[in-house]
Amino acid sequence: MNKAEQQRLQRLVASAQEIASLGQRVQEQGGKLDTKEQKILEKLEKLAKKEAKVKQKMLKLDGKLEKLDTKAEKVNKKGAAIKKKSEKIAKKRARLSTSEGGK
Amino acid sequence: MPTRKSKSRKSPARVLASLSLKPAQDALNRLAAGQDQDEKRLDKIEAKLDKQEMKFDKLEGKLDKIETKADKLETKLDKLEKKYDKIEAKYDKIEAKYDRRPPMPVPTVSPLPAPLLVAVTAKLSRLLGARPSVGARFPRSVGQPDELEQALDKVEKELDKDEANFDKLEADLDKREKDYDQLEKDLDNLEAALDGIELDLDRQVVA
Repeated sequence: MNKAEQQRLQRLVASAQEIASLGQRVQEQGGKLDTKEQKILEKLEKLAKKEAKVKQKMLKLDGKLEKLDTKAEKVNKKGAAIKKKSEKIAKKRARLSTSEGGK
Repeated sequence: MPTRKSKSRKSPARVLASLSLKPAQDALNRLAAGQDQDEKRLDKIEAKLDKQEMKFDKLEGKLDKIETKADKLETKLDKLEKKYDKIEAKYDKIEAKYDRRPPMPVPTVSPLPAPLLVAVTAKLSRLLGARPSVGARFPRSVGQPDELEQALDKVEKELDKDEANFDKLEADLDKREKDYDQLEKDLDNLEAALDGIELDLDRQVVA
Protein backbone atom coordinates (compact mmCIF):
# COMPACT_ATOMS: atom_id res chain seq x y z
CA MET A 1 0.00 0.00 0.00
CA ASN A 2 1.51 3.27 -1.03
CA LYS A 3 1.38 6.51 0.87
CA ALA A 4 -1.48 7.97 -1.15
CA GLU A 5 -3.56 4.89 -0.50
CA GLN A 6 -2.74 5.11 3.17
CA GLN A 7 -3.92 8.70 3.22
CA ARG A 8 -7.12 7.76 1.41
CA LEU A 9 -7.67 5.03 3.95
CA GLN A 10 -7.18 7.49 6.79
CA ARG A 11 -9.67 9.84 5.18
CA LEU A 12 -12.08 6.95 4.80
CA VAL A 13 -11.75 6.09 8.45
CA ALA A 14 -12.37 9.72 9.36
CA SER A 15 -15.44 9.75 7.08
CA ALA A 16 -16.71 6.55 8.62
CA GLN A 17 -16.31 8.05 12.08
CA GLU A 18 -18.16 11.16 10.95
CA ILE A 19 -20.91 9.01 9.44
CA ALA A 20 -21.20 7.07 12.66
CA SER A 21 -21.55 10.25 14.65
CA LEU A 22 -24.00 11.70 12.09
CA GLY A 23 -25.98 8.48 12.19
CA GLN A 24 -26.20 8.67 15.95
CA ARG A 25 -27.29 12.30 15.76
CA VAL A 26 -29.93 11.47 13.13
CA GLN A 27 -31.17 8.63 15.29
CA GLU A 28 -31.35 10.80 18.39
CA GLN A 29 -32.97 13.63 16.49
CA GLY A 30 -35.47 11.14 15.03
CA GLY A 31 -36.42 10.09 18.53
CA LYS A 32 -36.73 13.72 19.58
CA LEU A 33 -38.95 14.45 16.59
CA ASP A 34 -41.14 11.45 17.41
CA THR A 35 -41.59 12.77 20.95
CA LYS A 36 -42.40 16.23 19.63
CA GLU A 37 -44.90 14.80 17.17
CA GLN A 38 -46.52 12.80 19.95
CA LYS A 39 -46.73 15.93 22.08
CA ILE A 40 -48.35 17.80 19.20
CA LEU A 41 -50.85 15.01 18.72
CA GLU A 42 -51.76 15.21 22.39
CA LYS A 43 -52.13 18.97 22.13
CA LEU A 44 -54.34 18.57 19.05
CA GLU A 45 -56.52 16.15 20.96
CA LYS A 46 -56.71 18.51 23.92
CA LEU A 47 -57.65 21.41 21.63
CA ALA A 48 -60.31 19.33 19.89
CA LYS A 49 -61.82 18.63 23.32
CA LYS A 50 -61.65 22.32 24.22
CA GLU A 51 -63.30 23.17 20.93
CA ALA A 52 -66.09 20.70 21.63
CA LYS A 53 -66.59 22.25 25.08
CA VAL A 54 -66.71 25.77 23.64
CA LYS A 55 -69.10 24.60 20.95
CA GLN A 56 -71.36 23.05 23.58
CA LYS A 57 -71.33 26.28 25.57
CA MET A 58 -72.16 28.19 22.41
CA LEU A 59 -75.10 25.93 21.69
CA LYS A 60 -76.36 26.41 25.25
CA LEU A 61 -75.92 30.17 24.96
CA ASP A 62 -77.62 30.15 21.57
CA GLY A 63 -80.68 28.54 23.13
CA LYS A 64 -80.61 31.06 25.95
CA LEU A 65 -80.35 33.99 23.55
CA GLU A 66 -83.20 32.67 21.44
CA LYS A 67 -85.31 32.44 24.60
CA LEU A 68 -84.29 36.00 25.44
CA ASP A 69 -85.27 37.20 21.97
CA THR A 70 -88.68 35.50 22.29
CA LYS A 71 -89.21 37.04 25.71
CA ALA A 72 -88.18 40.50 24.49
CA GLU A 73 -90.63 40.20 21.60
CA LYS A 74 -93.39 39.15 24.00
CA VAL A 75 -92.65 42.12 26.26
CA ASN A 76 -92.53 44.36 23.18
CA LYS A 77 -95.98 43.14 22.12
CA LYS A 78 -97.30 43.73 25.61
CA GLY A 79 -95.88 47.25 25.55
CA ALA A 80 -97.44 47.91 22.16
CA ALA A 81 -100.84 46.61 23.37
CA ILE A 82 -100.70 48.82 26.45
CA LYS A 83 -99.75 51.77 24.29
CA LYS A 84 -102.82 51.11 22.13
CA LYS A 85 -104.97 50.83 25.23
CA SER A 86 -103.63 54.10 26.58
CA GLU A 87 -104.40 55.79 23.28
CA LYS A 88 -107.94 54.38 23.36
CA ILE A 89 -108.40 55.73 26.87
CA ALA A 90 -107.00 59.08 25.84
CA LYS A 91 -109.52 59.19 22.96
CA LYS A 92 -112.31 58.27 25.34
CA ARG A 93 -111.19 61.11 27.60
CA ALA A 94 -111.13 63.47 24.64
CA ARG A 95 -114.65 62.42 23.59
CA LEU A 96 -115.94 62.92 27.11
CA SER A 97 -114.26 66.24 27.25
CA THR A 98 -115.87 67.29 23.93
CA SER A 99 -119.33 66.09 24.93
CA GLU A 100 -119.02 67.88 28.26
CA GLY A 101 -117.79 70.99 26.54
CA GLY A 102 -120.90 70.84 24.35
CA LYS A 103 -123.21 70.60 27.40
CA MET B 1 2.30 -19.78 -9.25
CA PRO B 2 -0.28 -17.05 -8.97
CA THR B 3 -3.31 -17.35 -11.19
CA ARG B 4 -4.57 -14.42 -13.34
CA LYS B 5 -7.38 -13.96 -10.93
CA SER B 6 -5.27 -13.81 -7.82
CA LYS B 7 -2.91 -11.48 -9.62
CA SER B 8 -5.66 -8.90 -10.16
CA ARG B 9 -7.07 -9.26 -6.61
CA LYS B 10 -6.39 -6.16 -4.51
CA SER B 11 -5.65 -6.22 -0.84
CA PRO B 12 -8.65 -5.37 1.46
CA ALA B 13 -6.87 -2.20 2.53
CA ARG B 14 -6.53 -1.14 -1.09
CA VAL B 15 -10.16 -1.95 -1.76
CA LEU B 16 -11.15 0.12 1.28
CA ALA B 17 -8.90 2.97 0.25
CA SER B 18 -10.61 3.06 -3.14
CA LEU B 19 -14.07 3.40 -1.55
CA SER B 20 -15.84 6.70 -1.03
CA LEU B 21 -18.26 7.27 1.80
CA LYS B 22 -19.21 10.70 0.48
CA PRO B 23 -22.64 9.70 -0.92
CA ALA B 24 -23.62 8.19 2.42
CA GLN B 25 -22.25 11.20 4.26
CA ASP B 26 -24.15 13.59 1.98
CA ALA B 27 -27.35 11.61 2.43
CA LEU B 28 -27.00 11.68 6.19
CA ASN B 29 -26.22 15.38 6.14
CA ARG B 30 -29.32 15.99 4.04
CA LEU B 31 -31.36 13.89 6.45
CA ALA B 32 -30.00 15.80 9.44
CA ALA B 33 -30.74 19.13 7.75
CA GLY B 34 -34.28 17.90 6.97
CA GLN B 35 -34.71 16.88 10.59
CA ASP B 36 -33.58 20.32 11.75
CA GLN B 37 -36.14 21.87 9.46
CA ASP B 38 -38.84 19.50 10.70
CA GLU B 39 -37.95 20.38 14.27
CA LYS B 40 -38.32 24.07 13.52
CA ARG B 41 -41.70 23.43 11.88
CA LEU B 42 -42.91 21.30 14.76
CA ASP B 43 -41.79 23.97 17.22
CA LYS B 44 -43.72 26.54 15.21
CA ILE B 45 -46.78 24.28 15.19
CA GLU B 46 -46.48 23.71 18.92
CA ALA B 47 -46.32 27.47 19.51
CA LYS B 48 -49.42 27.93 17.35
CA LEU B 49 -51.25 25.25 19.32
CA ASP B 50 -50.29 26.89 22.61
CA LYS B 51 -51.57 30.22 21.28
CA GLN B 52 -54.81 28.62 20.19
CA GLU B 53 -55.26 26.97 23.55
CA MET B 54 -55.06 30.41 25.14
CA LYS B 55 -57.54 31.74 22.60
CA PHE B 56 -59.95 28.93 23.40
CA ASP B 57 -59.65 29.65 27.12
CA LYS B 58 -60.31 33.32 26.40
CA LEU B 59 -63.35 32.45 24.29
CA GLU B 60 -64.65 30.18 27.01
CA GLY B 61 -64.28 32.99 29.55
CA LYS B 62 -66.11 35.37 27.24
CA LEU B 63 -68.91 32.86 26.74
CA ASP B 64 -69.33 32.48 30.51
CA LYS B 65 -69.46 36.27 30.87
CA ILE B 66 -72.02 36.58 28.08
CA GLU B 67 -74.14 33.84 29.62
CA THR B 68 -74.19 35.69 32.95
CA LYS B 69 -75.21 38.87 31.16
CA ALA B 70 -77.95 37.02 29.26
CA ASP B 71 -79.29 35.62 32.55
CA LYS B 72 -79.31 39.12 34.02
CA LEU B 73 -81.19 40.46 31.00
CA GLU B 74 -83.75 37.69 31.30
CA THR B 75 -84.41 38.67 34.91
CA LYS B 76 -84.76 42.29 33.84
CA LEU B 77 -87.21 41.34 31.11
CA ASP B 78 -89.29 39.34 33.61
CA LYS B 79 -89.37 42.40 35.84
CA LEU B 80 -90.39 44.62 32.93
CA GLU B 81 -93.15 42.19 31.98
CA LYS B 82 -94.54 42.33 35.51
CA LYS B 83 -94.43 46.11 35.44
CA TYR B 84 -96.32 46.13 32.17
CA ASP B 85 -98.97 43.87 33.68
CA LYS B 86 -99.31 46.22 36.62
CA ILE B 87 -99.56 49.25 34.35
CA GLU B 88 -102.13 47.52 32.15
CA ALA B 89 -104.25 46.80 35.23
CA LYS B 90 -103.99 50.47 36.20
CA TYR B 91 -105.14 51.56 32.75
CA ASP B 92 -108.09 49.15 32.97
CA LYS B 93 -109.01 50.61 36.33
CA ILE B 94 -108.75 54.16 35.02
CA GLU B 95 -110.86 53.26 31.99
CA ALA B 96 -113.54 51.78 34.25
CA LYS B 97 -113.48 54.90 36.37
CA TYR B 98 -113.89 57.04 33.27
CA ASP B 99 -116.90 55.00 32.30
CA ARG B 100 -118.47 55.43 35.74
CA ARG B 101 -117.50 59.00 36.42
CA PRO B 102 -120.10 61.80 36.57
CA PRO B 103 -119.67 64.69 34.10
CA MET B 104 -116.83 66.90 35.25
CA PRO B 105 -113.50 68.17 33.96
CA VAL B 106 -111.53 65.17 32.82
CA PRO B 107 -108.05 64.56 34.22
CA THR B 108 -105.42 63.93 31.66
CA VAL B 109 -104.46 60.41 30.74
CA SER B 110 -101.43 60.70 28.54
CA PRO B 111 -100.67 58.01 26.03
CA LEU B 112 -97.60 55.97 26.89
CA PRO B 113 -94.33 57.48 25.78
CA ALA B 114 -93.11 55.88 22.58
CA PRO B 115 -91.23 53.73 21.99
CA LEU B 116 -91.79 51.91 25.21
CA LEU B 117 -89.45 49.06 24.62
CA VAL B 118 -86.38 49.01 22.49
CA ALA B 119 -87.35 46.83 19.58
CA VAL B 120 -85.42 43.64 19.05
CA THR B 121 -83.43 44.83 16.07
CA ALA B 122 -81.08 41.92 15.59
CA LYS B 123 -81.66 38.43 16.82
CA LEU B 124 -79.11 37.96 19.57
CA SER B 125 -78.61 34.34 18.64
CA ARG B 126 -77.58 35.34 15.13
CA LEU B 127 -74.74 37.36 16.57
CA LEU B 128 -73.03 34.17 17.65
CA GLY B 129 -72.31 33.38 14.02
CA ALA B 130 -72.32 30.09 12.22
CA ARG B 131 -69.51 27.67 12.98
CA PRO B 132 -68.38 24.51 11.34
CA SER B 133 -69.13 21.28 13.11
CA VAL B 134 -66.98 20.12 15.99
CA GLY B 135 -63.98 18.08 15.03
CA ALA B 136 -63.99 19.21 11.44
CA ARG B 137 -61.55 21.95 12.18
CA PHE B 138 -58.80 20.27 14.07
CA PRO B 139 -56.72 17.74 12.20
CA ARG B 140 -56.27 14.57 14.21
CA SER B 141 -52.80 13.77 12.88
CA VAL B 142 -49.64 15.72 12.27
CA GLY B 143 -49.30 14.46 8.67
CA GLN B 144 -47.49 17.00 6.55
CA PRO B 145 -46.32 19.85 8.79
CA ASP B 146 -47.06 22.36 6.00
CA GLU B 147 -50.67 21.23 5.71
CA LEU B 148 -51.12 21.18 9.47
CA GLU B 149 -49.72 24.69 9.71
CA GLN B 150 -52.13 25.90 7.05
CA ALA B 151 -55.04 24.20 8.79
CA LEU B 152 -54.05 25.83 12.08
CA ASP B 153 -53.80 29.25 10.43
CA LYS B 154 -57.38 28.77 9.22
CA VAL B 155 -58.49 27.79 12.72
CA GLU B 156 -56.80 30.86 14.15
CA LYS B 157 -58.65 33.13 11.74
CA GLU B 158 -61.94 31.52 12.75
CA LEU B 159 -61.11 31.95 16.42
CA ASP B 160 -60.39 35.63 15.83
CA LYS B 161 -63.72 35.93 14.02
CA ASP B 162 -65.48 34.21 16.93
CA GLU B 163 -63.81 36.57 19.37
CA ALA B 164 -64.97 39.60 17.37
CA ASN B 165 -68.52 38.15 17.28
CA PHE B 166 -68.50 37.58 21.02
CA ASP B 167 -67.31 41.13 21.65
CA LYS B 168 -70.11 42.43 19.43
CA LEU B 169 -72.63 40.29 21.25
CA GLU B 170 -71.37 41.45 24.64
CA ALA B 171 -71.62 45.10 23.54
CA ASP B 172 -75.17 44.44 22.31
CA LEU B 173 -76.13 42.89 25.64
CA ASP B 174 -74.61 45.82 27.54
CA LYS B 175 -76.60 48.26 25.40
CA ARG B 176 -79.79 46.32 26.00
CA GLU B 177 -79.14 46.33 29.71
CA LYS B 178 -78.89 50.12 29.67
CA ASP B 179 -82.03 50.38 27.53
CA TYR B 180 -83.97 48.09 29.87
CA ASP B 181 -82.81 50.10 32.90
CA GLN B 182 -84.02 53.28 31.24
CA LEU B 183 -87.34 51.63 30.33
CA GLU B 184 -87.74 50.50 33.91
CA LYS B 185 -87.34 54.10 35.07
CA ASP B 186 -89.81 55.30 32.43
CA LEU B 187 -92.33 52.70 33.52
CA ASP B 188 -91.89 53.68 37.16
CA ASN B 189 -92.61 57.30 36.21
CA LEU B 190 -95.62 56.23 34.17
CA GLU B 191 -96.91 54.17 37.07
CA ALA B 192 -96.61 57.16 39.37
CA ALA B 193 -98.44 59.35 36.83
CA LEU B 194 -101.24 56.79 36.54
CA ASP B 195 -101.51 56.63 40.34
CA GLY B 196 -101.90 60.40 40.31
CA ILE B 197 -104.63 60.23 37.67
CA GLU B 198 -106.45 57.50 39.59
CA LEU B 199 -106.30 59.55 42.77
CA ASP B 200 -107.68 62.59 40.93
CA LEU B 201 -110.52 60.51 39.54
CA ASP B 202 -111.33 59.14 43.00
CA ARG B 203 -111.33 62.65 44.45
CA GLN B 204 -113.65 63.86 41.70
CA VAL B 205 -116.06 60.97 42.31
CA VAL B 206 -116.04 61.68 46.06
CA ALA B 207 -116.57 65.39 45.39
